[in-house]
Amino acid sequence: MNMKKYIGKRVFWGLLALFGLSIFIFYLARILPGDPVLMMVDPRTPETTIEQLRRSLGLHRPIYLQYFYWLGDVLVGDFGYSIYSRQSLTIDIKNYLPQSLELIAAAGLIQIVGASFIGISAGTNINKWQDHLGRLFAYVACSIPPFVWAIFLQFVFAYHLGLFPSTGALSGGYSAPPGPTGFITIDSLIHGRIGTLINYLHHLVMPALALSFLGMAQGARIFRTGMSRIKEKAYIRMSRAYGISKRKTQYKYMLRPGCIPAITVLGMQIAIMLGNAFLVEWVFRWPGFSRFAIRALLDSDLNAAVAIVVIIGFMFFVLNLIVDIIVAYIDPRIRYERE
Amino acid sequence: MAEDDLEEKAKNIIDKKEGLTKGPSPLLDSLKRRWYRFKLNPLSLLGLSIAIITIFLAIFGEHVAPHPEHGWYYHNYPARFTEPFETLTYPLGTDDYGRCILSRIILGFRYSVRMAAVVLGLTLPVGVTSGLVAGYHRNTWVDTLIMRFSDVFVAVPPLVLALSITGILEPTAENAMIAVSLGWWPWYARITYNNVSSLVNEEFIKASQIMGANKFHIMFKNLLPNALGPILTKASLDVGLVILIGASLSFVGLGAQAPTPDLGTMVAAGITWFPSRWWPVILPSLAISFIILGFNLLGDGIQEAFEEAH
Repeated sequence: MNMKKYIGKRVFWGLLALFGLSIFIFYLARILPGDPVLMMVDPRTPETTIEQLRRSLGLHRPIYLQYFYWLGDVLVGDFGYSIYSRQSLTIDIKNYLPQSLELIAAAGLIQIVGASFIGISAGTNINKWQDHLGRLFAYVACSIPPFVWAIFLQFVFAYHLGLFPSTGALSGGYSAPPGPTGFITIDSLIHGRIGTLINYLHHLVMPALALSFLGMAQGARIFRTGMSRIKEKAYIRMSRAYGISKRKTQYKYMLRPGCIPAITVLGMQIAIMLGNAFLVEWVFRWPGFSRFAIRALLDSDLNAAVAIVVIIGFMFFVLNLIVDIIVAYIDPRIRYERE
Repeated sequence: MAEDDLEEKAKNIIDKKEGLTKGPSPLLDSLKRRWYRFKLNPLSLLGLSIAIITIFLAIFGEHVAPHPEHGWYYHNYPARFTEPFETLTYPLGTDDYGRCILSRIILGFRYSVRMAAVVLGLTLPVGVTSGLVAGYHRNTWVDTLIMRFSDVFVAVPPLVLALSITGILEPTAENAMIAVSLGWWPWYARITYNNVSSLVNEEFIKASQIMGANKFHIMFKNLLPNALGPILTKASLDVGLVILIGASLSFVGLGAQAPTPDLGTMVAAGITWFPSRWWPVILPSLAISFIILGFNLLGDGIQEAFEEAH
């Protein structure tokens, strides 16, 4: 019952924070010296044309009015004009975002599988070799920034061993399917182009791995602690004493309570990938949102900067909300506490 | 006679009291116990050594580096792309301008340490104070205002916020520090808030209130010392993370700029010739990972030492 109220409250405060963030970043982009109109046009343009352009863009209004006009546009999906790409930001976002989401989805999947495997085998074998190996992995993986992982993987597996392509998303002979969604995986399936799909997935492996390691290490550590704490509980000893097999105890009675803290961390790490994907895509020249975003930011494209923060902020909000709902669903204690 | 007796007794009591206060200080005692726990783990000691080396090089880099003049604008094209271990003059080889990579890595430690020091130095006081004020005024409008304001800056991943802010301002090392700090202080506000709001109902706080202590005394003298443990542990675990974000920013060109011997900038500059000239990229990358590993191990050790002592 009260679950709905709890989620509703989270949505309300989450959206309010996002609203505040958009105000902050919008003001920051507007109050700084430098005229966006002058950046857009040829220096020889006559003064009257510039004034006309400024009026047509609504830049003669006070900032708070500009903000509300902008907000109205954003709510109907119009993020304005990009100085960097010289087209509507909505088009840019539609072009670049799907590949980023595919990368993050792949990395998230690898992260969850890897973290569960390492965390469970370490947590159920405390102070045995699985545990030590897991800890070593966690230390190494946590200490290497995602962009350094990307460089290392690229260097070893792409350049030296030649097992994976070094950059890009599709090899020369392949082209992105002209699909309705923009997601190459889905579109190539729709058009029945299995070759394209395999080629794309082959390109996807290295960046996804590089992106997943940081979260995998964090998740594995939390998983290990969670499992080892549950293992000391009386009811686990009890179930072993009843003669229930070790395997069944582990997977039926320990996994569910043991994985709850890990789910929170894994979900948060997937959300953080929205930021780290910026770096990994940069190294692998992945045709994703981040590559567009960094180029635009280096070009000090203010509209793009605001749009990037708002879009990533929204996805961050949605991901965190999903994690909250999953955790509340798995953990009855949270559900009943709120009732 | 009786008066003398009384005086004697009073003196005895005072002496005993003095004896009590002169005993080993509880703070020092607990620190000693924690240090004992800390040094039991060789990994923590390794982390501490790496951290000490890093900080030493960050301060005295110019005096240690074999070619300190190679840090900024310098070129020596004949020695361009010397391979590592080829000559003793350039033990780790040279980059595209013929600059000594070892020297540049040593000088680069300063930028990583400075990043962490400035960000933590800015965010800890701000975050802790706001968390303290909000936690003390729990469930009032002050609490709502402060905590919801802090939520604004964690509504995106810290890296995205930092990238956008440096993109909007101007990509420099200083702006990168400000940008990372903006996304960082809410975490300290939150952890302080959580600790303080559970402490605020304790008896000793009520006692302090009844005795008429003012708000600031209660917040900074009663609450803060008791909440400080987890905050400092979190801060020590964050050092590695801040260095990681700083390096990431300068790697994509939205932090320290080109001639600066910043480790992330060096990796980015070397990418043009990667992978045929691997050393200008791989060696600074290893240096970044080495620093972060050191601070992570140190932070874990501190956390372990403080957790066990509870």
